[in-house]
Amino acid sequence: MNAVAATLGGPASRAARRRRRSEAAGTAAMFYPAFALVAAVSFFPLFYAIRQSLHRADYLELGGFVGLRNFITLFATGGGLHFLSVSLLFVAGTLALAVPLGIGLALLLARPIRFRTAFRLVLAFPWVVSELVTGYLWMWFYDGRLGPLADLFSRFGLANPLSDPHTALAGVVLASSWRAYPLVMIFTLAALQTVPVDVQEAARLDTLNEWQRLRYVTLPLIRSSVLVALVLTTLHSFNSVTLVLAMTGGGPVGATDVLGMRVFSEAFQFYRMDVACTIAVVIFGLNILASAAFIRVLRGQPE
Amino acid sequence: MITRRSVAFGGGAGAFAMAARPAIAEARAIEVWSLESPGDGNVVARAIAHVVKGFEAVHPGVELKITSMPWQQLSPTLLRASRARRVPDVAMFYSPDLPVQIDARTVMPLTGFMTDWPEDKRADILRLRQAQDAAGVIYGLPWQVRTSGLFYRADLLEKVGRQPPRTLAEWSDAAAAAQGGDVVGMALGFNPGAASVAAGWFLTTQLGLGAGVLKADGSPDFASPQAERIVQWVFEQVHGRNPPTLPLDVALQDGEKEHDLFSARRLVFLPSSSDRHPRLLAQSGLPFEAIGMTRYPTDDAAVPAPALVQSWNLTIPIGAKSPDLAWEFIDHWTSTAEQVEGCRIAGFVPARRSALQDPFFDAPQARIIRFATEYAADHPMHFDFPVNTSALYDTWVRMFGRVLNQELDARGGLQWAEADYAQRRRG
Repeated sequence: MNAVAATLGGPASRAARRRRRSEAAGTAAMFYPAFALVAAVSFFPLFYAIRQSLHRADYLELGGFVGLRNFITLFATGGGLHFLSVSLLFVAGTLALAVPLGIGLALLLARPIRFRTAFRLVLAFPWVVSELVTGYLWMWFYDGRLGPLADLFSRFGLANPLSDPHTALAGVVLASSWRAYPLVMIFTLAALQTVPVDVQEAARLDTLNEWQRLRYVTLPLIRSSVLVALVLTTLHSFNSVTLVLAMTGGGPVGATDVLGMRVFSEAFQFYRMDVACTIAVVIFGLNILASAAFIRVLRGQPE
Repeated sequence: MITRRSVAFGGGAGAFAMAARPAIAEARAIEVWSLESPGDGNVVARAIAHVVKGFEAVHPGVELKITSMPWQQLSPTLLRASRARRVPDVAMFYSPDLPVQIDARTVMPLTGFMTDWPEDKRADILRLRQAQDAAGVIYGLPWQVRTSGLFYRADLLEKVGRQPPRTLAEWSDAAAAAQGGDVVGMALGFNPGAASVAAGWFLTTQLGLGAGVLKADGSPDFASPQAERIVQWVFEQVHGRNPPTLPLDVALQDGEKEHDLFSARRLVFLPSSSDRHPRLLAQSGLPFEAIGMTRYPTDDAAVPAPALVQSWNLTIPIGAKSPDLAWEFIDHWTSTAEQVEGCRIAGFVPARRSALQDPFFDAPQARIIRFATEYAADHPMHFDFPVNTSALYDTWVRMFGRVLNQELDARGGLQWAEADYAQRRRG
């Protein structure tokens, strides 16, 4: 026992302890400021929003506690179900277009084609364009009277799709997908670089055709990266405000009234901070649910 | 000889001077929140730059710090700043946003400052209802005014032998006659993204037809026969004519797109505000005589809709560091001389009656300003704007969207709007 204690208390172990302490201090010195910063810019507003959603609001002042009444009102008479369904359609539509397009283009760009770098740059371009510019660009594109396709539109008797409640959401989804697909493409392209060449060769020797190689070899190997892109695109689409604000303002007839847009309008146009925070909390919940679902899928994948 | 006492005295004096220096410097600088930066190239920015230069010339040593932000952000930003007690000395607001600031108690009354003015100077300036509380206390003074009305293409009307319309029937008839090809008869953008022009037109036309709109307690009174008549009239312009005088896509697009249509010479009638005239002229390239402006029609040729007057106002937020200096700035900007210059540079309607004595207003290029001034003076609007006018306007444009897409008829739409607004209104 004494020998052990002597060994533990020896100069070597003291040095090791000092080193561990110093490492722990270094870790803490890097972690806690970062944590404090994240907490300040993320958790505090989140906490504020949750607290406000459970209270009445007098402009920015916190009113009386109302429990879940704001949520009940939102979904009973405040149009919450409509905003939610428009948001789900918007997100689903964006994913349905952006994900296959992004993966497809990545598969094409992974091949040894001429001007591949130039194509990659051009196809990644929508990602660097701001949402506001994307919105105005597509709005102009759709304009059936002054836009570049005005003549074509008038020949077919078409008006601006953004002015028709039956087509407006599709119009915004198309613009959103245009901006979202490069992220999926870049993630997929990066993942494709990691697929071992010998695995592809082995599949080819096993006489798998191109589709079978994609289906059974490539896609399972890049699934994690695609899922991460999917999570990011989902979160981004749920939080989207600028695109809708620029293109339709939520109209016509509420056809593009996504949850994010409502948060903006209720907070900064109508000064109903309680309603805005309630919707923001709903969006947060949806984001958590979507992320959890994707992570579950990710964890469930075969090793 | 340097003694300990002299060192202590010198140090104390130095410390006092250092402490006092920022206070003095702060007192000679005022921060102004503006919708434009003086460095921007447009006419409004040029008008603001002129005011800043003039103020600094007569107040040497006073520095004006202009912080510009998108105009829609001015009001929510002051609410936040007020809570954080980091307000500017002067903040400007568009008149529909003022009731919110008054209700939230973020701006201070100006009535006390105005008592220093001579009686004629007090009586000379325009006082908007939206800039006052229920007791008539003034919280904001206008630095530019605009009157809403109906822009029209005078050349196109002349070609088809029509006069500027005085009734709704004349309006739809003139629009039908003058439109053709890719030229649309009229534009009214019932879009929640930019609701104020279309909803403002709906408000004034209702009042012109004698509707109440809101009850004394502020609750909605929308389902009047007059309102139904207007909604039905709009519906007929969209669905009751072939070709429509107001195509559905134009009826539902936002106000800026309507202006683009007019600027592209593809529109006969455009409801808008008088301050847009210089821009419409410049962007369309039309000759001066080709763009006219008339009063909003009703059903009675002799009784136009009342004039919807809006303004950009200067306020002093509660907690401002230098309220007296801020007032001097407001006094300067609302002076007759500066008002004339603003009109000359940017086509504003002056906020002071005395400005109209300037020979500039006799010139042909001031025709629209004269029209706007006379319309506002002859047919003032008597309407107590609710605290949250944005919600009222938003409800109306959504209602029009539903009616024009044939989800609801005119009466059903108005009843829906009543229920919707009753739930959203404040107070």
